[in-house]
Amino acid sequence: MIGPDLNLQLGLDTILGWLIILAMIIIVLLLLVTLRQAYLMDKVVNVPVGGNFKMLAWGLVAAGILLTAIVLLVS
Amino acid sequence: MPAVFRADRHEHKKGGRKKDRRVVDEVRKMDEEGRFHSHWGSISVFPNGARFESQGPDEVILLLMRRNFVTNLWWILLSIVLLFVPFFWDEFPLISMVSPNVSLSMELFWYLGIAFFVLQNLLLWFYNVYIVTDERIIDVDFFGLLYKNINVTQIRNVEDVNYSQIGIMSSVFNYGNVVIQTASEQLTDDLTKETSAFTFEAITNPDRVTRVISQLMEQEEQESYEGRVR
Repeated sequence: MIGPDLNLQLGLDTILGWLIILAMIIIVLLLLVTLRQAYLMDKVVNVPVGGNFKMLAWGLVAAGILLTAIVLLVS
Repeated sequence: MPAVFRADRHEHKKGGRKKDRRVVDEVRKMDEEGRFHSHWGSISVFPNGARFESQGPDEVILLLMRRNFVTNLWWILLSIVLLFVPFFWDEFPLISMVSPNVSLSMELFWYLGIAFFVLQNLLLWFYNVYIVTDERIIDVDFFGLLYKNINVTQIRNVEDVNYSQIGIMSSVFNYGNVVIQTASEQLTDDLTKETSAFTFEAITNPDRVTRVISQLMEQEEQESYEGRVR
């Protein structure tokens, strides 16, 4: 036999679980980039209601982190 | 009160001397109509509290414009449809085989993805603006997450302005593209592949915007003729 015997069993649940965790982390990173982008856009064009978008972006980043934590826990 | 006693809101006192703002008739009319003052609207006349990068201390924003809200319908409808997709996941044999925990994770991921998609489109719509000031025309284009393109020109460099309304939606909701040709006529290297660097896309009331820019050009020409170029 070549290589160590890892006794690894890969099921559909395991593969999907890891893929979803990876995708969630990518989305959280993209949301962080979007948050930065919202600040930069607001710097280029400063409109009084622009603060709402920043709040929305912060809310989504927080929700993203929370949901990623939940996914990590349940997977 | 007689008009002679009323201070013109578009005149600005600086150093005890009144500086005459370049406010053309069409902008005054739009201002008086009162329906062009929302920050969320496609056109905002004298947007209160709005500023942009590189704005001069005496420069006044006459019009702040963005695409008509109707142009957002495609992604709003798409998002609504996508919201209901998880209800039919069990119909797919492969997805119905996964455990409830993984199924829940997939749903959370799906809804977070939709929220990201909505936020992106909302931001791009809101901050892709076109600004007409009393001195310049500014076209701010953002594409996706990491690309922005800002075109600026002086009113005196504008040579020609025209607009087009194509399609049923633009006729029903009265929006269209305003194309401003400048002296240099250098095309943008951005992703829009527009015919001019200054193309205001899907603007509400394109005829009135065209009139505003035409009047500003006439005024600039008049000032140039009288030797009052700024």
